[in-house]
Amino acid sequence: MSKIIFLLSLKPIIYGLIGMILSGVSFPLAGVIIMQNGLVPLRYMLMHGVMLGGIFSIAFRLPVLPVSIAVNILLVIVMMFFNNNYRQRNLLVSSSTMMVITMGLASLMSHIFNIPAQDTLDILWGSPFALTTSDILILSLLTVFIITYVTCCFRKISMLFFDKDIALSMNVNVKFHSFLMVFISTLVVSAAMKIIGALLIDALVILPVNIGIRKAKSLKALFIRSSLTGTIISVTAYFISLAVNLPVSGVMALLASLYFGISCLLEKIGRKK
Amino acid sequence: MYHKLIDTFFYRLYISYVIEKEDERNTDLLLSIENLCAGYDGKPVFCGFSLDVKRSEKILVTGANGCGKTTLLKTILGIIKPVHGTIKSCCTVAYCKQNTSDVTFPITVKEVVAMADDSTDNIRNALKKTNTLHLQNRLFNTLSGGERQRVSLARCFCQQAELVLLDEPTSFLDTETEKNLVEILHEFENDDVSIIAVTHNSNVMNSLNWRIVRL
Repeated sequence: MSKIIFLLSLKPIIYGLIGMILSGVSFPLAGVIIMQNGLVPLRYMLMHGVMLGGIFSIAFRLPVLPVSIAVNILLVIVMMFFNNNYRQRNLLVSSSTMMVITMGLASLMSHIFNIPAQDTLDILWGSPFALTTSDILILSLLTVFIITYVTCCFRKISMLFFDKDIALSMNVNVKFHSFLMVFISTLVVSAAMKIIGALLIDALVILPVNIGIRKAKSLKALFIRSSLTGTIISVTAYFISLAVNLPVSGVMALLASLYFGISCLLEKIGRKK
Repeated sequence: MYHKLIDTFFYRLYISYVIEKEDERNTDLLLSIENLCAGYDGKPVFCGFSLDVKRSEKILVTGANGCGKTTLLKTILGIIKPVHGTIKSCCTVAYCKQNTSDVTFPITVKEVVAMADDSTDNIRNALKKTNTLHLQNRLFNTLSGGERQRVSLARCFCQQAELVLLDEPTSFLDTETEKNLVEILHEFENDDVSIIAVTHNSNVMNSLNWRIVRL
């Protein structure tokens, strides 16, 4: 206990905790948007975009998070340019194509700029202890933006989840909101990479939603439950990793999977009763 | 000279009368489709379709499978751009889709209807009218096909649009549920709302005393 109290007096640890709370609250909200809009394949493109951004930032000695966000935004803009009706099937095709192009570029860049494989792999794991003041600021802004969007546009979001044609008939600007949702996914995947790494994004973005959806009795409840689950998982994992001196991302992924497994088991037992 | 002045006076009087009558007729006209040709990627599914829809008018659009009934509704909504022809609309439109079975997230019946209007009274009235008040706290994806159609109708009518477009409202329903739905549609016959329902179901056509238009 005294060890943790001592650790909490250190700046990187406090920054890490703030980062975990912010991402725990907001990333699962984006997870609901990603899942319900069928943006899971897009997530893969964004993860590869983060790799490309990481290699670019190492090559030119630039800050990783803003560069990764910029690369992903650019990728999304290019993808949307060729895919203007936001249908799921088209998004799948264009995001897969962009993913291949991104990996090709990443491979060429790491070869041209002689970037060691170890440095590239580091991007895949991430660490909340490496968060800087500007990263915390970006995360805070992102959290406020996501919460504001979900709260203020809840009716429009539910229409878009329900059916895009019906949303259009109710005068919802489907194009604008679809782009905004893709944009939010882009920012979240890029930010999550810095905290938990590109490979374990699902632990904080998708798994809390999968846990929340089991008990949620309405869309509002799904958003709230996912966010609460995400916060519990991220903060608990953070303290466990501090106590046992293990990487946060791995602990979080295992904890989220355990939580998911237990919720499935409890549901099964409840059904039998 | 006087003759010319008198002629001009009566001519102007006549013109203003015609314009007034035209305006009167136009305020009653919610939707005017002229020589419409619609389809996908510039390839027309149907051509030369014209239709005027007046306030509180109920219309059944019929035709064989694939003749473009759903395409027509999507063109009216602006989801699909017409290949050529014009659609003039001066009203709010609500749309009830053919199949809303792929809802994968938890959303209650009340939340579905509240998408159209979040006023509690309107939601309650729409649910009452479609006999779905008892379902308001149920999850939409746990409802049967017939219940879903009724909830979708409730959402449409809660929107309080002047024109409601119904796409095959009785598709995927058994005979009994179909009957219930037709009874609900009967209740809207004296309402101020205009309805265009597309169907190829002859039972519906025979049961409802609506204007029939073939596509």
